[in-house]
Amino acid sequence: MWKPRPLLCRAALVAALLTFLPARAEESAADIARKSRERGALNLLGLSAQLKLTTTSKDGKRREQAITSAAKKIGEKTHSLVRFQQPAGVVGVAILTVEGAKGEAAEISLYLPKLKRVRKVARTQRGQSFMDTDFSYADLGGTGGESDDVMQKAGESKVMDRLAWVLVGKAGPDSPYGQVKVFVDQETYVPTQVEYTDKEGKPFKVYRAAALKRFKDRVVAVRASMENLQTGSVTMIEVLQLEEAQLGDEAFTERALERG
Amino acid sequence: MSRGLALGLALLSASALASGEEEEEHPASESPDSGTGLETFEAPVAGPTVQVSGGLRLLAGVDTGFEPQRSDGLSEHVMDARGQASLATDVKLSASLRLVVEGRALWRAGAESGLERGKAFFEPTLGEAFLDFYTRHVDLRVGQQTLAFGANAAFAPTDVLNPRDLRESFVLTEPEDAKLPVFAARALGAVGPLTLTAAWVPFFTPHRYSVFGQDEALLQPGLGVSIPFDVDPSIEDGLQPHLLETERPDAVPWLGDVGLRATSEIRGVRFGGSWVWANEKLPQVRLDPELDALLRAQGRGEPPDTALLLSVQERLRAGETLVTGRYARQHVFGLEATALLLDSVQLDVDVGFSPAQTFFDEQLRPLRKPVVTLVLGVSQAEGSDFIYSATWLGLAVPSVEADELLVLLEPGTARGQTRTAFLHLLVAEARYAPQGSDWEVGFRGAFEPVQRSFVLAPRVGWRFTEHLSVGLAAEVYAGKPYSPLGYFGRNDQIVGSLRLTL
Repeated sequence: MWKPRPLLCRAALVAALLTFLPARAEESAADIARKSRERGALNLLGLSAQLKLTTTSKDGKRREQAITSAAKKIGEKTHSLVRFQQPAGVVGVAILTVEGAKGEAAEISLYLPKLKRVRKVARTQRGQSFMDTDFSYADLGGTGGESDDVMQKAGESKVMDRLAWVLVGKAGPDSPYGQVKVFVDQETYVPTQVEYTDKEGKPFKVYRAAALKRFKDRVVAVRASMENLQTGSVTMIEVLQLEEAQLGDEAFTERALERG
Repeated sequence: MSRGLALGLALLSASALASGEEEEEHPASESPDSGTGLETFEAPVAGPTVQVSGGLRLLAGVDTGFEPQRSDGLSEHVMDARGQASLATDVKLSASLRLVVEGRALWRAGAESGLERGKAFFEPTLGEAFLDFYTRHVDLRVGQQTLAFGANAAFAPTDVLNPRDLRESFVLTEPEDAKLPVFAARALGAVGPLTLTAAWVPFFTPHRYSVFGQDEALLQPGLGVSIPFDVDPSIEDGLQPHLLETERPDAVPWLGDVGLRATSEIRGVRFGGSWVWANEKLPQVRLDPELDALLRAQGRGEPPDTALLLSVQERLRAGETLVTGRYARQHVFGLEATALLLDSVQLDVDVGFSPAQTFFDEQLRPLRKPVVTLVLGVSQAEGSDFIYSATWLGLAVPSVEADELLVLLEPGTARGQTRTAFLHLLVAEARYAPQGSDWEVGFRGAFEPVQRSFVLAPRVGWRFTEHLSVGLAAEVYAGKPYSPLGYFGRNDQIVGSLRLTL
């Protein structure tokens, strides 16, 4: 059997690094922001995940929610499916979101197991706080409603003992935020910390990844939190299970919402 | 609920925005595998998953007025207690196979004025219990199940395959809780842009109802009839399911109930049509005219006509059938549409037509009439502290003869000319539950404008934990005793409730 010689290996490694490092160094803030957004709070495309959300209010009141989530790109549109497992009042409720065409809002359908019927859901406002959690549509739909192109590099920092690029940008008019500062892990492009101000420039929320794990060919923030600095409330997201999604296209249709 | 869905949306958006082109955009040198020093997330071992859910709901009510005991056998309960429990297990055997088994139990107790004639019953039943088999084109469900036809969850005219529990309070019970699961086979599939549903219910199951002896019984004093016999309260409730029937529809190999539904969606508007051919779930009771005359005389406290009495005795001796209680079949055709209005309100529209449906006259004799039904519903479609829904139900029954009167649907003055009978009913619900708070306040009500009868049920609730909540409600009826909602007018009560969920 042919064995590579150590010297040759080292040379190849050095050559690879020399090729790789300048390429990363030249990456624009917009490219980093885009890759980071794609890794969002969770990167579930092609995966099925079981998630737990725990919200603790300022007065210490805790509430837990458990969901399963899966997403698949069908044609040009991302189809996403969430099923509620907790709390008891919403067990079996399922939500199908079909990404809208460019410039159009997503189509959202809600399955109510007690009624055995699918309801249409209004396009939710990005800034709205949902289910008494500290996340909003804008928080999880990227890093805060800012465009990739407006992000600018603002140096480097360390988060979770890992090197991160610091990007700063102004949020768009639809966003509930004024300015967004994103710390992007340099090895994985996962956003490890995001700081938001409100429209008046006051500190508003902080997103923090607490644990990263490899799953297959990607890295996922398996534990993260969103803290509302103005209300003192914190929501933790925890990934309990992850698996490759084996779901066919038909699993992301309204008729499949009742499958449970 | 709407907050729950919105959170789902939020999480979905995260996944939605995660790119699908991971491999192309991030070559191996950028892969997190290359020296990130991160732990690997262990994939779970594939296998069946089991989810157990259940709950308990207790209601206790006291009437606001204590009616003295009546001599016609239709005395009211002044105190009522009810408990409903369910326990369900949902087993996902694989991605294409799912088994659900649910058990339900109902306990009910009540007493008349002075705590007289106290009684109780316990009724364990099978809830939903079905096996699902999912394929690429068709999802099959076989077993005890709840079927949904039409757009409106409570009043869609073709949603008649499941019997209802008519022993439930109209305003204190969720409409979906009154729907009883039936054994059925259902296929749900897609053909092009159409979603198709085909359902077959081979075995007949009637509505659950009380003829008398409960506050929601079919016979109330407003009808002017009396119970011609006295029954001990200990067996009264056990008798009810078979009191009005003498014969049930044949089961296999006969047809049973069938239903077909097709829906599609264009530009955000879901529309569809359905057809159901089913047995009605209340019997047509026909009394021999001579026997009927005797019973009515007894109800009025008059001595029986001797000639009639002898005639009835002779005919009974000869083996004649003087009472029949049979279930008629009906076709129901429906059109439905659902759309979002102003991006915040859901509009549901159902139109139904049945060429022949059973109504009853004021003597409770069955009348077969065609009927057109229109249902318009609006409800909340976005997350809010304030939740509402309103439904208008319109019923038109043409070809009502001059000497006929549709009991409760029409006022007594309607008689006298051939006409189309109309019923209008507005049902509304509103609830205010501030985000993050443990309390809520709301009401449910119904108003019928022709005879101006209504029912109103205000309610306050308090949630102690995710699993335990309590409530206090009132149920207030108004209208003439012979009107759609005033018929239950003596049931005004204060109700306390406790709900426990697993």
